[in-house]
Amino acid sequence: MANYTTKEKVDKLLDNALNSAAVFSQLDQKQTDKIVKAVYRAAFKNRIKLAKMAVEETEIGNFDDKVVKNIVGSFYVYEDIKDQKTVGVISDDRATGIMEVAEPLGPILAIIPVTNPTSTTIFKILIALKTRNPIIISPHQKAIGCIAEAARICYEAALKEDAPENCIQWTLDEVYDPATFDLKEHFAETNAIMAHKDLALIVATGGGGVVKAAYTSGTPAYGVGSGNVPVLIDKTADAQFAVEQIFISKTFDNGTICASEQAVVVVEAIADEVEEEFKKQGGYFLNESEVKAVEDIVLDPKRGVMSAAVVGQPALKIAKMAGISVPDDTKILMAPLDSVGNEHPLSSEILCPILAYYVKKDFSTALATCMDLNYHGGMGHSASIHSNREDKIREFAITMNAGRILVNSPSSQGAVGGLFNKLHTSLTLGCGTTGKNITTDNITIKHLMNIQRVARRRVDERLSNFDTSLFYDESLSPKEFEKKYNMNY
Amino acid sequence: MSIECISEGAGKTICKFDGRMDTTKCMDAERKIMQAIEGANEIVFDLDGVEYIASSFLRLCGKASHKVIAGNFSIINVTPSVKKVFKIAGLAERLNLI
Repeated sequence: MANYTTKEKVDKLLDNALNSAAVFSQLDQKQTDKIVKAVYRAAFKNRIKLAKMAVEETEIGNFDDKVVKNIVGSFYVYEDIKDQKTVGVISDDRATGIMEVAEPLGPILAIIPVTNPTSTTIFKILIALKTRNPIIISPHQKAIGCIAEAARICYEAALKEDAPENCIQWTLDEVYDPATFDLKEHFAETNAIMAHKDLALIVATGGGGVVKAAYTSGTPAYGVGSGNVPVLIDKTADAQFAVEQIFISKTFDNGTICASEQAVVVVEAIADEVEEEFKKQGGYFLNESEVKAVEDIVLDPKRGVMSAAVVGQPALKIAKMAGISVPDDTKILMAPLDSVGNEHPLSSEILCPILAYYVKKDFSTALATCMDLNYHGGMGHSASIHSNREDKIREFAITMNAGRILVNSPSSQGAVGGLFNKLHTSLTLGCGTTGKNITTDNITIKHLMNIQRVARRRVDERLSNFDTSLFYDESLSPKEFEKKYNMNY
Repeated sequence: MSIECISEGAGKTICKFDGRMDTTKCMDAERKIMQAIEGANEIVFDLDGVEYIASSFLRLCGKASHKVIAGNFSIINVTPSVKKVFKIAGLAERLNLI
């Protein structure tokens, strides 16, 4: 659509999407499920090709884990949603008289990040189609090729099952070339779609800028927040197991998942054992000057946030960038720190295999440090604990400000749900109001439906037997009112 | 499939549809309909018995409506579920649903 103006292009996208939404509204549950199944299978079948494309195009993360992410975005998401009712009457409670009817929302704009490009595309397409909503995919500029290909594969599979035309559209399909790509135009177009009168919802997964743009567009939006995930290792934890879980999580796709652990906080009583395990499993503890060298390369000096150059890079490469020598089997760089804050850059979120490391004398002081980390850029996101004491787990959960509290699990894979727990499988993790989001939920199909409630007549028996003239009796105290209202009930 | 277009005199053509107006059916019917309405002053699409319409049918309606002056195209006998499709697409008024 090179000859079209931004407005014409956006109007056309939304016009197509609106027609698609209209046609989609006629499909029943069976037809809808058939489409979703076909799309999931096509995406799953192409998981390896898409993973390869994603790694080659973005140069972030690694191939093996990108394959796993595509499996999460297709198979695990499908497993989570396949049996859910999303069309017409989805529940009918004769006792309360409340019947729920699911209605689609209309055209959805999906903002796709560079860190999880193909898996997030597949995930959002599946939840949109399952709820009979057309979706417009807006790719991150550095992952256009793989995102467009994922969308195309899903769209072709959907059409074969008679899905409505244009139920999946994507805004770009030419691979990013920094020399020719018009970033300003890309942002202008995305903003125009976000503010379009016919758009029903934005599901924005990405950095703070795009999430804020979504929330200020005037269109309802689900966004995400940044994470700074602390993991507390209590003295009752199994040190070897806990460290193994942290490795599974933190090295996954070279640490690109925002729910991955950012800092380990260990209770002193178990610290020696934990440190030994980290060393054994591929953790390299940086000395003071090495911490400084790593700090110097992880931050973008202009913006004061993590540098894009380190995102999703392996530990060995980061060490090399910092000019430090580490053993060849190093998987995570461990940075011993004594406090949290801007003066310690490694206490912030950095999406690569670097872990801040704190040793605290007891559970209470460890918990306090976790809170500092949580409030240092990760509010509402996720927090993790390794403990075998229920009271400590509860205390941790009550103290943390996090949508997901993961217990004895790898936090990356735990937070996305489905693999290590029964959370809904999602690649868009709500961070609640403290993360500037409307929900702490893992975004899934229930967020993409308007639920209409049919309320059948069920009169409160107490009201039927109550003398309503007492409503106007000012001498009646609230306590007396309650007594009379609940009399013989 | 039963799609029938009848000229009623004074340039008025009524096209009657029924069943599922899916993509294949619309593609097959498009040429016949466009020929039948050629030169008409007034076009009526009668959707009595139509239970499903695809995007291509919405497009066909749009294309047919451009053959006559505004107000001389209308769609009649629409079931509530099909009416909802036109409403969601924002086309109910433009295509003069009666």
